[in-house]
Amino acid sequence: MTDHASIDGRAVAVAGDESVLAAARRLGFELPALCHLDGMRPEAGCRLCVVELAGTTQPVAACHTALRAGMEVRTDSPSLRELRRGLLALWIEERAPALRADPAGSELERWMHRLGVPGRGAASTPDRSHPLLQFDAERCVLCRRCVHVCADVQGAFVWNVIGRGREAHLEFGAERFADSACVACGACVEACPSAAISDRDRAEAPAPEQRTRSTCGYCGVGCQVEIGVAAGRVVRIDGARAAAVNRGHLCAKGRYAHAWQRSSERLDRPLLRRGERFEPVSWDNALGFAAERLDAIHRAHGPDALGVLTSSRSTNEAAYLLQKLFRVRFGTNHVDCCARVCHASTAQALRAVTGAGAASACYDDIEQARAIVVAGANPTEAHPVLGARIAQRVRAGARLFVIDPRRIELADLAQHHLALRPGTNVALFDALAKLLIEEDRYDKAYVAERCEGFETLASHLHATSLDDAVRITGVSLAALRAFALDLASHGPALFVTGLGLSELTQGVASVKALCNLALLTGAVGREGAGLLPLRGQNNVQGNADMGASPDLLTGYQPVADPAVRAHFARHWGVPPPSRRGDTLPEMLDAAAAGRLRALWVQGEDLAQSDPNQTHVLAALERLELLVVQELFMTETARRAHVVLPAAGVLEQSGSFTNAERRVQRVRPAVPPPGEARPDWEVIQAAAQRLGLDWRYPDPAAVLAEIARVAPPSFGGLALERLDGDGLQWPCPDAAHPGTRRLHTQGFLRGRAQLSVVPFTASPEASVPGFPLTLVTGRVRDQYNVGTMTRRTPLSALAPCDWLELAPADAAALGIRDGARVRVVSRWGAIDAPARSSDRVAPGTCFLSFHHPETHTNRLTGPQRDPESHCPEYKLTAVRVELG
Amino acid sequence: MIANGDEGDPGSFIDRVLLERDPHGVLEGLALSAFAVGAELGVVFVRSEYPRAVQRMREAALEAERAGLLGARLGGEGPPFAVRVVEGFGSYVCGEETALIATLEGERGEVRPRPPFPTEHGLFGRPTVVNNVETLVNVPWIVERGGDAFAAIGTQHSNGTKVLCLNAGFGQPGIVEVPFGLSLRDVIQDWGATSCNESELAGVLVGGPMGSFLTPERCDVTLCWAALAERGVRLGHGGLVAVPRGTDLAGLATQLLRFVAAESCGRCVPCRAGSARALELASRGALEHAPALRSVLGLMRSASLCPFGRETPGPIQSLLELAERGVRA
Repeated sequence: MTDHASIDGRAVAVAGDESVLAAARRLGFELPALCHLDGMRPEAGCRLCVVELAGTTQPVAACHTALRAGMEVRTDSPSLRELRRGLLALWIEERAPALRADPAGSELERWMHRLGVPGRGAASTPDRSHPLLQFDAERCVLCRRCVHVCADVQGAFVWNVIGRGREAHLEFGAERFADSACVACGACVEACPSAAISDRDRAEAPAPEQRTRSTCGYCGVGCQVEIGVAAGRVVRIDGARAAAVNRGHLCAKGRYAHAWQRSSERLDRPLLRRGERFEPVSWDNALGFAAERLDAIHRAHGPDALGVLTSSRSTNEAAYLLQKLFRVRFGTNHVDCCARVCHASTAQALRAVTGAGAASACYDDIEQARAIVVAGANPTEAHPVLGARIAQRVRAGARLFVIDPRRIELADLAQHHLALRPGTNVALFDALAKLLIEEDRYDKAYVAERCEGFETLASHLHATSLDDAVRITGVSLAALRAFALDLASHGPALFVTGLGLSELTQGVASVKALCNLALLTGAVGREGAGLLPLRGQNNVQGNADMGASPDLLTGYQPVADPAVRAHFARHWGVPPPSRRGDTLPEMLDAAAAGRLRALWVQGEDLAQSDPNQTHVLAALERLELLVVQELFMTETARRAHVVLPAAGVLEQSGSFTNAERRVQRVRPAVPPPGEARPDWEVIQAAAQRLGLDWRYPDPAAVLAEIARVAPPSFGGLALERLDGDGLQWPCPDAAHPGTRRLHTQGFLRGRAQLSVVPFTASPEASVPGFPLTLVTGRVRDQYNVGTMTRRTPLSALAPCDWLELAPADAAALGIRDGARVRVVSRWGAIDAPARSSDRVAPGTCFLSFHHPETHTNRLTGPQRDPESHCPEYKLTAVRVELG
Repeated sequence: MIANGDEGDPGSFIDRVLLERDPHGVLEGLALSAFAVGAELGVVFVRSEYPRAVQRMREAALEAERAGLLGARLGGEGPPFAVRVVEGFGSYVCGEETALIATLEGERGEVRPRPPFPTEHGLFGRPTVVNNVETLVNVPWIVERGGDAFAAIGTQHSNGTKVLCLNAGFGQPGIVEVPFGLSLRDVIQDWGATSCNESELAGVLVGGPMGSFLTPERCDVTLCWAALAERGVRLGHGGLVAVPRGTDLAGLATQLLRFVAAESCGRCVPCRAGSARALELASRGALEHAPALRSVLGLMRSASLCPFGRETPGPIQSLLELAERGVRA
């Protein structure tokens, strides 16, 4: 029995350096450990977890005593009870007058009750300045759990201990909590044992009666959530502790932004346009009308007159059915989704370079990375849970390289930040590649064994000039050289990329040029390295996977391939059409020109989110039939002929696929309001109205068909296999465990392609009369067009869109913070409040697009990448005038 | 390799003398120890209350570097070894090795639970050895003359010498270096020039606030770690504070509590809240509140995270008991 110990007489196996506390909890013993958090280094402050060890005279704290073979641990005895009671009484007497023993209270108050420490329960006045969190110093016992999670999980360092001895107290670095650096991730609320830090929005909410595990419906990180419901209402959302993706952590959106679900503005009945007004109708009428009009347009004008956009906010099952419906029933490949306007360039470039248009790496590579390159992405704001993981990895010693026109938060932690001019990625990456090759610092063995096109690339780069690169990018040669050599020394790196590469006229070229760097440094297919594009929406990866694309069917099978069409015909009864369809921007062009007459839009607000808004509105106005499935009356829905009320993420069943190709379960926690229905059900009902004999009993049956039509990628997917952490595709069969990393043994296309991509300037660069460069994007406390977040308390943190200017530019223009300015591009003009920010480089400005009244996309223009058709959101020539 | 010169015991000035008068001895000991374990960085951590020691150590380190003995090549031909002299931050607890390391990392000067011990996971996660100034100063002597020569001095269990520091309460204050094996009484009488009997001495506080309070009749103890431990005496750093007969022992206990409450780092509940509570009780009357005081000191002893909270109650409790006995007598 040398490898065993005993706890209160029960034998327990000794496991490495496991603490006595962890082992005792594993056996189900309850020990008070009020400063301790599982997974964190022991704080060792409260001392309440004292236990006795046979053969020693002094009790020891279980949290920082390793369980060793032969140990005999006693967790309970009269003297231990007396010691714990004495310690807790001393503690509560020292501070926290507002606490009182309560069997239904906070964790600490429950222990007060159990150990017989009454407390005073004095009245207190919490700091309620922040819209989401409140802090009550009279309840704070200084356990420091908040200090740990804020530093070691979120990395925000809001909470700190000031003072020594009895003077020691908790500080948040501001007079009012609202003015602290808090990002409202809520990790401290979850950690706090005494409810000194607590949620404001759910302070009065009842305790959940049921908890439903599901996937967060905001960004593409795919955090696992537990949705707490009481009396048919979502009362709280918590991170799922055991989840691989987020390990219990969430961001403010995932945790707090759920009030949209019960908003009085939710669409709860189907609507038909009658002139300028909408009239509520039955589902039968609404779908009947839509089916009849679609059919009529199809008969009169053929398949090219109809198009469809699936929703990257909805499930894989809904996207699959909708693209199938239009391909099967109307014979059109005018099928697309909003991946077109975000990562289409990335997917296309990755497919060309590696053979797979998705991340090669997985999130766990972050913790294994020696070096991380973040290019054109702002993870701490747009993908906060991953941003925090990256920041923690850098704190633990990984080198960080940031490439971004703005000094994003991660740039503050980086060894290198190249603040290039917007739209000059290709020149920058080429210069870095040139330096790697010419300084002989690339991975020759990897390139020789796994890549092709090296000689061509080398001679192309040889002909380029570093002086030109410096002139084009605005980055000094010294900075470029230091970056390249450091990357060579500390790589292979994990390349985390975002829309700053993709949403440009050189979008595909930017990603290909970045891939050159990844390949030259031997990064792709290795642990702790590779390519990790951060997907924007919860299921944008899944929509592309499902075949919401004019040229690719489910599982990226090309429509142009007759064998593929024959394969689909076997499952669908009819083959999909052979000719490539229109992309989203092409569909809008076709609508504006009168060629596209009917458009079905599932959960996407084109009118607010697509570029060149004037053009988009004209296109939508011209449609003979616009069908919109939506949660709210969005700018797009307002222009629809048929509005179908949709179930949201908290109300649907099926699956989402995150940025690391992980297919995860979505489960309904509450029913949708009124007559709103899940998207997949609505598509099936529409198909039936259109004469198709579809009889999918549930989303599981749809996923089963997805597995059958795309076996190499999804053959092993089944809804019941997605419990827990889901499966990462490729997952070809029912026994396959999924694939964490791609290209570990060789590339899907054989060898990876090193690409020659000459730099060309954007048409928006150097436009006379428009001296500033506008970059559009998101901020932390809103999500995309804000349809959901604007209807939650979170909106108080970002109540409007701000035009951010470099301080020098703001001063030169005479703009003071808060002044309303006029922003003019060649495509439109808007008014917005402005402020200066030292995160913005001189000559550039930044504007978010969360609020419809801002009309940010009136400014963005028609420019797009010629291959991917991804619009140029990240670069528009503007001028700013004081209003 | 860290030289711990955060000497904070009230009435103790052993390290001060060594740092100020023999800075090169400290550096030599540090360098030899670093060479032995393969350390690349040496830190001499000196408490902020010793500005002259900080200055002397900095000058000495610079001299050694200029002479080519430190820096790129240790001793002119060895591996690289850089030495930094760091001034402390005015906290007693930083003399504890994990707290000392925490301050070097830019964090609060607080004790961390051990394990992991610094020798496995020390400064910025690297294996780190922390030794006292006095220990390091012995090293060159031992290297020069051999371990046997050192072991020939002292007792079987405690080799060599111990520097002791005698405060102003002694007839002849100052610091002395004595071989292990002398009796404490002899030190008090021969070196301290103080009669070790109840007519003159209430007792001696040995080893600072975490040490022991010994009445004259308990002073017949051999200076030897094993013998001291057997009697429950903690020699600690080696500071001896003579407490003359007639001293208000309860007042002295309260004064010690004041020190403990001020220097408690605040990390663990029994030490932080206990010392404050005990001081409050003692300030209201240590003898009247003796039972409550005993119980709070008991919580500190049994549950504190580090020796500061566990051991400071020892001499305080002894003093209170003596004071109580004095009142009864």
